[in-house]
Amino acid sequence: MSATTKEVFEILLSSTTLTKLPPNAGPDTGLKEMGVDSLDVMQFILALQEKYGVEIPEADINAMSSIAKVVEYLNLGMAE
Amino acid sequence: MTYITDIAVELGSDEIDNVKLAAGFGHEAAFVRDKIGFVKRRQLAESETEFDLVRRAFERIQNGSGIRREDIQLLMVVTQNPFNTGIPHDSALIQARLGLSNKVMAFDVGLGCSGFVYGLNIASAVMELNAYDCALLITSDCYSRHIDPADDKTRLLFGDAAACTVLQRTSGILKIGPGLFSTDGNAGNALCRKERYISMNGRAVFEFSATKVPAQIRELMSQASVREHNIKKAVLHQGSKFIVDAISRRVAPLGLTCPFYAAEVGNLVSSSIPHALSIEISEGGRESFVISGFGVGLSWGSSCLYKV
Repeated sequence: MSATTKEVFEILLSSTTLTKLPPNAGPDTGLKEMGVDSLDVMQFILALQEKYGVEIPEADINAMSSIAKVVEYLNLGMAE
Repeated sequence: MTYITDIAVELGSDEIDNVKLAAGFGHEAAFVRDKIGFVKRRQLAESETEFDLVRRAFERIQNGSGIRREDIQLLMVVTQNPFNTGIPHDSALIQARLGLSNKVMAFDVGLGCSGFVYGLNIASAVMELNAYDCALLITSDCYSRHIDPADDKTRLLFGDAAACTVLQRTSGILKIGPGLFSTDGNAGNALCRKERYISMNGRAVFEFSATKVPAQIRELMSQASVREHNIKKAVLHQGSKFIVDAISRRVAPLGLTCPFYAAEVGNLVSSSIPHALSIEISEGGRESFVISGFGVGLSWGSSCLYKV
């Protein structure tokens, strides 16, 4: 199982209060720039953990600042 | 069977504008309104004590349902912040201050946000075993005096209240049904007192609430005796709007809705569910509920209340 950009975007929208992505938002756009707040991040992280069966430690969350970085993190974690 | 016959909730007299307070921490009004959910909070006034709230709630019970002091055979006080040092226990102090009979079983239960659900279950069992006709369940935890003023994670959440809930064996408004109860002391550091103040790991509390509570509600709702009551509403501990909404999404497939009742009062700890139930009762809501309390411990409990 691997994470895809499209899938992670879908998880972001279904798990948080974000209803739509801002215009021009892409994989490298910062989550904060997309309007994701600290509580949205908690929901997003929980949804990722449940979907991919990984445990994401607190210390790793700051580095997951864009969808591209989230996908990279998940795929590295699942490959280990 | 045991029934809830009346609930009275008293709130701290000070009304805090949480939007204004949150702005000082850099939070926008929309974040307070839509996520935290507590636009206002109620706190003890400087000259006010927890006992003032208990006394006022008890007076309302006396005026409302006509319960006499000598009728009360069981007095249970749910608190983690006793008036003095906890010695003697709050229930003994309250028995004396309210002028209740000496022939009362009075004891404290040291639980936080799960305390009301546990309290109903314990009281129900004690009343059945001893054939008691009348019990008073008091929940009273005023966190405002245990919060670090510089910590926005806790300061924007909690409100102060006390609730008196009358239980009787003969009849009432809601019949107390079965419950499920759990504890995970290994995760207790997520929400605990560290030196002087309450400390909270928001992410750990969120993940606990969003996973353990829906699972417990699902298990409870799967029982055949519960299913036949066709319950449509869950009255949850009002930890925050964010947490209530997260649980709500996860129990929606069970056909449950989870209203948010606490926008004007804050997280009232063990008094949050009686506060919500008092709103349901005052609005004439005659239906069965699942109630679920969760928090410090970590401890969580869910139970059914059946319409009569």
